[in-house]
Amino acid sequence: MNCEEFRSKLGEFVRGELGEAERAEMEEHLRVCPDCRAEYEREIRIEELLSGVERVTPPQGLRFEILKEINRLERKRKRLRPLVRLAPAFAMIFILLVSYLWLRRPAPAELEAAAFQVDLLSPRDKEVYLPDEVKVVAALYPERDYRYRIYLDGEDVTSESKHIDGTILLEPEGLDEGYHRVLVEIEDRESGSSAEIDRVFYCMGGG
Amino acid sequence: MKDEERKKLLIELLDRYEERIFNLIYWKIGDYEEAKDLTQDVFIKAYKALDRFRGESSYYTWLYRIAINHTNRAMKKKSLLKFFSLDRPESRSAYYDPEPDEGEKWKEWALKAIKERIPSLPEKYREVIILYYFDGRSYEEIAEILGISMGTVKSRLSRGRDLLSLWLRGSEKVGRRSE
Repeated sequence: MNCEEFRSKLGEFVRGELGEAERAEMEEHLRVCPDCRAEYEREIRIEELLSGVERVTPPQGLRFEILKEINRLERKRKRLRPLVRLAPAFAMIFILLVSYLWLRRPAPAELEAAAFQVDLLSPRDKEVYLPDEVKVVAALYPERDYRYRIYLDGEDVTSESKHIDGTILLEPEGLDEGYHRVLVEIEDRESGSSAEIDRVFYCMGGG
Repeated sequence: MKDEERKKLLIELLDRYEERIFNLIYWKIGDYEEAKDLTQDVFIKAYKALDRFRGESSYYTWLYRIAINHTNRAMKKKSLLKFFSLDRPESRSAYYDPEPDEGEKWKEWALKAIKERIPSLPEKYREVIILYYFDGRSYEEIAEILGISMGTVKSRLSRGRDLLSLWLRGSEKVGRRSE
């Protein structure tokens, strides 16, 4: 055994962790090598010193402090326990409330669909009407806030129309015989979605 | 786990490990008052986490891990690390140096010097030295607590001891020079 090998196993040797054969080799090397012997003695001293470090006694009140803090935490937990038990109920109420508000909120897709559902009840496309029968009626969702314009043969006749509870009504007078075109532009103020209805009808003149 | 059961278990853990955990922390940071506060934190943390303890390791391994992690975090936070050096007057033992053949007198001096030196050993060596020598843990147990291999435990132990030994020799020389 050389010095390098000896020193690599010195710790285990000092702590009695080597097998018999290795221990015998180490002892033989110790006998013939004064340097390693000095190293061994230093190692023994360190080992003895470290093994001789006595435990430090914890402060007397430590356990009391720990238990006191735990009791305080327990009391707090118990005080909060009824609230904790009700937590699922609170959570449910909250979820229902949020869901309700969410459902009440006009979804853009739904509004868009609503706007496009707008239809003219009268006149129907290219149908023939007598002048006094011509009524342009658009039925909208009454609870919604719409902005609209009606054009008759390209002329803005919005001011002549009425908008009552979601129904737009136009009763044009003095229409000439022939084809006429009515255009309604509707915009939902909340969602910003819009729709356009374009109808052509034939009016019998001279009525 | 019911409150009563949890409290009973905590008291068992305190009976078994209060002193050991306190020592582990004390030797890691070298401050008695701080060790008291940190030990208190460790047991309270353990108490709160008892329901989550899954029994994948033993209670002591689990508790030691909490203690080591918590202390390391606290040390990092408060920069509690103390650096003792041969040149600094607070390392008083370095200035008193009986000869090794003075027997008990030398031993007394060296023991004091070693104790002063331990908190300033590099963390990785300090932990294994504390667990091995002061807590009497086996290589296997230390490996499990620290999550390292047994080979690493042995090499760190050896290196830590070498450092202490070198330091002791160094302080002997300083002591002699100062005479």
